[in-house]
Amino acid sequence: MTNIILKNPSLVIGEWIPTGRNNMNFLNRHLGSHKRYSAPTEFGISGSIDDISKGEFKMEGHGFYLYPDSYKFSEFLRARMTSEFAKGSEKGIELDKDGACLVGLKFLESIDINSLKLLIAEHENDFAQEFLSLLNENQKRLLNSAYDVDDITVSKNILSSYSLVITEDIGIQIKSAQSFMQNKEQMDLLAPVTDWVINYFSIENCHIFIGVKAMVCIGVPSLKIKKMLKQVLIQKTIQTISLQMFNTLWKTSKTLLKIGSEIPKAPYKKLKSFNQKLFEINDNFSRQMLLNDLLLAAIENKNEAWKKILHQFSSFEKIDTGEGYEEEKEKAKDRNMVIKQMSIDIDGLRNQLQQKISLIMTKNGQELNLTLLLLTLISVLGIEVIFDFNFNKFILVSVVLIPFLLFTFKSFFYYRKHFQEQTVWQFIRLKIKQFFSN
Amino acid sequence: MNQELDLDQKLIIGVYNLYSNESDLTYLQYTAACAIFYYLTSKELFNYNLDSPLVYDYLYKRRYIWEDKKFMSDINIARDSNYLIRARATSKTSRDVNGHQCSNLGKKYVLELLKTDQTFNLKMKEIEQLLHFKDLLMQVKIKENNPELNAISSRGKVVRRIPITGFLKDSHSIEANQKEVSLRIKNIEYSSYFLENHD
Repeated sequence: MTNIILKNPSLVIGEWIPTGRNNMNFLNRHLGSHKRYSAPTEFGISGSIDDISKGEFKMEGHGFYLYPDSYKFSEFLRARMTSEFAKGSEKGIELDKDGACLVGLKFLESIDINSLKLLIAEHENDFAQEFLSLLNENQKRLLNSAYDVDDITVSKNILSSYSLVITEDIGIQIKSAQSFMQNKEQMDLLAPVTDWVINYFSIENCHIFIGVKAMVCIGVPSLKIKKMLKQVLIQKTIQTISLQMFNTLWKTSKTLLKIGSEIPKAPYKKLKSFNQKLFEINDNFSRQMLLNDLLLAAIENKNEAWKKILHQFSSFEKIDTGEGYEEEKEKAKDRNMVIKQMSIDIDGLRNQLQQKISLIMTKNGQELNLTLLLLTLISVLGIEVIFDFNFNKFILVSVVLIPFLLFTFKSFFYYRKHFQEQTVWQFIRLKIKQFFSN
Repeated sequence: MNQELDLDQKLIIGVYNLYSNESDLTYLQYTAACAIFYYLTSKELFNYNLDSPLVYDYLYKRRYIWEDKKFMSDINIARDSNYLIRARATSKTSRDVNGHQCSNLGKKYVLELLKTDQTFNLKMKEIEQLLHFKDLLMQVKIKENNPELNAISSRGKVVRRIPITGFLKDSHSIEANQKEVSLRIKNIEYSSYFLENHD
């Protein structure tokens, strides 16, 4: 397959992170965006300060350096970023209150498509680590629930991003996106970067190919087209996180199914661990619902922006971007329904679990009763030997003990018959085996 | 259906025939298949590009693994010829899994090729040699650091272990032999880029 060369490509990687105006405001204030510093501020330094009463502190490793370019306190931040102080290549980053996080680079040389894919992988990874260190604990916890991990900051390669590549030329004459995709020799040329191309169209001499993993624009886009591309990128980024969120729900449903099937045979310790797991899942659901609501709010805001963009194009200009915000809104509502349904399942499982635990407690109580009674019998018989009871006294003591013994044995056998899978004989054999193995 | 297959496509069906079977309900995970064909390509049995990454399911995560687009397209051609069956299998606890299986038609096709196609026959012998330890067909074990080919004895003991290094393409798992590629790529200079002009 031909390894095409992209002329000086630009790359923009997108990720959706729960943000909101407060977090945005905080970041701009911490960065001092309004102070018009020309020198950068370092963020994302590894380690933390143990004692702020100490004037000196030592950290574990350097972070990255941000130079603010433009901002609106609670709305957005555009900044340049370097990984080394006062040297190295700069990336452009953009974050907004609706959670769209973009990082943009323009490569200063032409790159073949396979190398570009590796470059995307490298920068996606850096991007995830850099952005995660900008987040506060609440944001990280919400992301943990979306990705079903304990700590997103230590789970490498986990954020699912979407990328946009813009290049003037790929060394092939393109009449239209449609003719390109209809040519069997050409249709897979962009696949290393885009994966399967689903939607494509040409507009103002730009050919746009939207794939599962990334989209490529071939041509020199005007500002109007760039704005449109940005909105499509954000749309696709939101689709990616939405898919991730549903994937986590899907996995959770399997965990619930497994717990449900194991409860009847599970021993006490396992039941306790199931109880803990159900508690965690329920807790996660609350976060997932919150995250879903935040995403829904972001979708609604971005949908308004998207409508404004579309108004700028005439009806003759066909912009086929596939599923968009309207579908995402429905998906978000649908996910909330799934969470509610699974919460009901959890309630059912918890009841089942409690019932099983109390049965085990009853069984343990019954076994304890039996043991105590047997010990009492042995003690009484021992006392009889020590005090040398006569036959009448022995009979009297035994008769007094008989109803207790009968009651305990009867309730014990009743319990085993009705609540346990093991038969009485299996139980006795097991106990004997355990006794001898000890 | 009657498309003439090239040698790579024929050999792919040959390998799937070793690991899967329609009648026995056996399948090969796509991640595992990529690992096998990466290994065979590194032994020069195939001419795929070893530096081609793909974001795909690997154990419990999405990671960059190896997949050359020509390989993917070969698999699809084999499917179009009804020699391979694509399947999506559910797992008990985690993600569902994409797999493929050599169809009964594919099995017949391979047996026919072994009799009639000398080049295919010789290449398959080499492949079988690489994928066997003594009489044991090596199984793919998908491990966190890299996949492995394991020969497992009838007692369930691993008697031969071949790590497939370089298969994972994310930066944490780049092996020494790939560091050169990684370094070249890292040295490509860039400047900041914004989709909108500053307000």
